[in-house]
Amino acid sequence: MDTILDMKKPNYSPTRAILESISDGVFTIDLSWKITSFNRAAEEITGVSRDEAVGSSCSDVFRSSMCGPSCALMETLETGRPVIGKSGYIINSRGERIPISISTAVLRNEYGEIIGGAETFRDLSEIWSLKQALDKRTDLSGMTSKSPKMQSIFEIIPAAAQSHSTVLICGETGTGKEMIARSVHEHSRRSDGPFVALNCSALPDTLLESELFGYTAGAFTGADKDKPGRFAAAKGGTLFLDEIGDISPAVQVKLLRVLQERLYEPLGSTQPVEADVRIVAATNKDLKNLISEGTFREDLFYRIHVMRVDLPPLRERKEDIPLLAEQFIERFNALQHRHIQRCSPETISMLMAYHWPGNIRELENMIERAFILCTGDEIEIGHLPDEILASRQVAVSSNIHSAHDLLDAQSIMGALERNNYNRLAAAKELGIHKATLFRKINKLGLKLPKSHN
Amino acid sequence: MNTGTAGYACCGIRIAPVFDVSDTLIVRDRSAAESNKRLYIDPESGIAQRYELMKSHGIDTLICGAVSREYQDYLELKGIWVIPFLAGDVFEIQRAYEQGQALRTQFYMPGCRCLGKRNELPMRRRKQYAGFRRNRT
Repeated sequence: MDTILDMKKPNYSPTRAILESISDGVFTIDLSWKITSFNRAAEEITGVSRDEAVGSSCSDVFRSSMCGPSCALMETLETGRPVIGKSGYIINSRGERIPISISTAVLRNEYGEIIGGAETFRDLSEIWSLKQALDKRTDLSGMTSKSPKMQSIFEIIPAAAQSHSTVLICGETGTGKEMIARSVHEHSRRSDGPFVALNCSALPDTLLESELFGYTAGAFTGADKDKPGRFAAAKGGTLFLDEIGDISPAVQVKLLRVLQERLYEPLGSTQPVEADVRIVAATNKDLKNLISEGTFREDLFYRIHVMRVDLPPLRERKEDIPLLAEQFIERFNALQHRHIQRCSPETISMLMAYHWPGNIRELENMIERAFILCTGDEIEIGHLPDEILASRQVAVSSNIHSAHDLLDAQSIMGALERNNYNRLAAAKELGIHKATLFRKINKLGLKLPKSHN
Repeated sequence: MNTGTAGYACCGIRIAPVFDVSDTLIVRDRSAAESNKRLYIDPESGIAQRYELMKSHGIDTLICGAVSREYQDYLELKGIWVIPFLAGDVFEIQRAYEQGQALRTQFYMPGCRCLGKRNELPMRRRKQYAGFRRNRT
């Protein structure tokens, strides 16, 4: 390469020097699809040396998702027209997919005859990873968040999804457990397979068993033909078992066997069937409490408790409320052909003050309700339900001191909860002296749990 | 000498440069009377569908061009042996493979000469390795 770039050397060529210095890969081919030149960047991106590339078939070197019928260079040679910025990926010699964009052109000799083609390609890996990093900040499979707690979950999910382990999702009702389960499925190697969800608490014991494992004809009265269960329906994919804490001990034993042996027997059958599914379980209950009460098997708990995801309730990620409200408004606008623009600032402040026992689902329902009542382009306080208005006390006060007190109270209670009501730690987190914290607790009349008083 | 059922991802009469988007699979079951069977694969299909198709035709070895690491891992976890990063005439490769010749020395893709020594393990070791990987799941 030095010889090409060194102007004093006899074989110096300005064009080649330029091609060697650019960061885009460039190669040329003759009419028999053999590579005739291959620049430095092309070597770096593909991992193939120039010596090996020149003279080889271009598809064996380039190994792109576009090789074959959708080859851009073939299109260019056939039509004489360049292709610019077509996207795809190549597979390097380590088996890594490298996202690229390509452009092509024909090569002609001095008589204007086509003698081959040239292809330039750009490595988009860095742009893609930056884009993914940006996306991760607020979004994962349709979930939106700016909360640090959710960020850490978004970081865990793709890694957890790649493993084959069972995932246990814990969180209050309405926190998006099924969306997390779907996200695990979408990021897993089983994403091409089905995602099957089953709410275990919605079915009585016997029905749950037949629903899970299926049955054969004659297994019980009325079973006149075979019916595959959810395990069979989820073959090659993911089975999401919601409210797993509600299943009976008898079903727990059968589920444990499936998890241990990867085999199950449909009702009425003696033939074991392979369970080719990845289990994602969810609960809104404290399974350890259920174990101590004797209603949940400890061995099953440890089988499903391989990878645990704890979803925070909405009251612990209030910074997401404006973002979520905006997302729901967009969705309902699209569904109902409406043009509501936003929530008014007073409405947002009300939403922030509410404690959201029903979490995101409650917020979604609240926005849906407001869509019925709202005739303008902004959701106002008057469109909110009574339970939210009941929490207005200080929030809607036009008195700036009251509003300030409310924010203080929320911040202090949040810090105390996060620090298990340790005042010193909470004061440190808030960046105030502990004496100031005590004074504010008294002034605002904050009620702390008795055990912590 | 290699026996069993092998699948060759191809494009025309050459090994397809990229298995992940290849649209044809030649199935060669050495124990059956009918030799090469040509299967069409939807180029858009993902690894699970590709695996199902291979499994339904009893393929235990895949011979292909470039393949992404995740696709190769998936197939090997499912017990299909993958001999990747090969280039050339599919029937020449088939002949060489069935005669037990080392494919990588003759048909390697440019830049892939030193890859995949594990893919050249004798049949006994390959079965052990596949069993080991299956049991890990």
